[in-house]
This record gives sequence, structure tokens and C-alpha cells, in this order.
Amino acid sequence: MNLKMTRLLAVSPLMWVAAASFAADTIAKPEKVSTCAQCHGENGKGQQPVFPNLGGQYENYLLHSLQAYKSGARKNAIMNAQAAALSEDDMVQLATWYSQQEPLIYTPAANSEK
Amino acid sequence: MKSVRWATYALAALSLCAVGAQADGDVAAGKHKAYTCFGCHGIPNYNNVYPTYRVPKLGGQNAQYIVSALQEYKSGARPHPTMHAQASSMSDQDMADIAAYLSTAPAE
Repeated sequence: MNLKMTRLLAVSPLMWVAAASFAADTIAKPEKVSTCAQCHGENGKGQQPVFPNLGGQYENYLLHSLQAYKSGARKNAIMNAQAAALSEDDMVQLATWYSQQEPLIYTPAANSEK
Repeated sequence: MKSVRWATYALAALSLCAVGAQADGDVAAGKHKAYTCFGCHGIPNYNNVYPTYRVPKLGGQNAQYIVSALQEYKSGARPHPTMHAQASSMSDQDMADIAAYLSTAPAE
């Protein structure tokens, strides 16, 4: 067996562990998604142009946003009312859910010719 | 009751006008004006310093939402010192142009 093959075999169990731990992080659909979905879609697509796409957004940014809506630091009549009804655990679950959906948004390229 | 219905129609019509009156974004102008945004929003996984969370992805985001977010940063309805400073220097046209660019910008 050549060196390359040996290395590959040595590394592959690690890859399985990595894949398994990633799978363990994906969560079941939180019940409260159905409320969010009216404006943001179940998979995070804004249902009106004024509602943001959430699918694929950073989890800790989504969580920060919900916390700021709940505390009132970020003012928005609809979202302040919605977030008031959410526990910290709800917010973590919802942020995780939307961050794991098919990304609709991405980091834009600074140096493009377009 | 009839007057209530007409008032509803009038309100609906007014809100449509308000949307219509929003500045149309110019993608080419927006690319130029969005230059500063990329210092944070153009770097994958870039962190806001305190509190710590990742600076949101804006590529492909809805343009109208970006405009409303910028207006809220400008007015202070959304607190963030850096974004308030940025948005304060923007006109409605600047916001529309930047939003038009970011919503359609190519991916990093």
C-alpha cells in the first residue's frame, strides 16, 4: 500500500466523525416556525420584498436580532410583539433552524467585474 | 359602513403611492457607493466586536429590506454605532442604490 492510500485510510474515520457531529447539529423543525413562516417562509424566503430572507443567515446574528427585538433595543412593531412571546430556548431553536436552511443569501464579492 | 370601505381603499391606494415614491435603485451607482460596506460585509464570517456575532450576509437579500434596515439605523430605531454613522451620511437615493447592488451582487 502506498503512502497516499495509508494516509487516506487513516484520515477517513475522522471524516466520518466530523460528518456525524455535523448531522447531530441539525435540528427538527421547531413548532413556532409556523408563525415566522407567514412572513419569512418556512425555509427563510421573505414573503414580501420588505421582509428579509433568513435562510442561510448566520445563526448568532439571527439570535442577536431576536434578542434585540425582545429587549426592545431594536424597534419594529411586528417583531417586538413576536419576540416578546419567545423564550431564549425558542430563539436559539429558530435561529438554528433558519441558519440551516438552503442559503438564499451570501457574502457579496467586493472585487467583481459585474 | 360604505365610508369605512372607501377609507380602506384610500389607505391602500396611498400605501401603494408610498411604495411607488420610493427611489429606484441604480445597480452601477450602488456598486460604487457600497465600497465601504465590504470592509465588514464582504468578509465571510466577519465578527461584530461587541456583542460578538457575525456580520450579516447581504448578498441576495431583498432590496426593500436593506433600505428599511438602513433607514432604521439612520433614525436610531435599530441601534448600532457603526451602522448609524454609515447610514446617517446616506440619502434615500444612496440607500436605494446600495440595496439594488447588494441584492444582486455576485457571491464572494
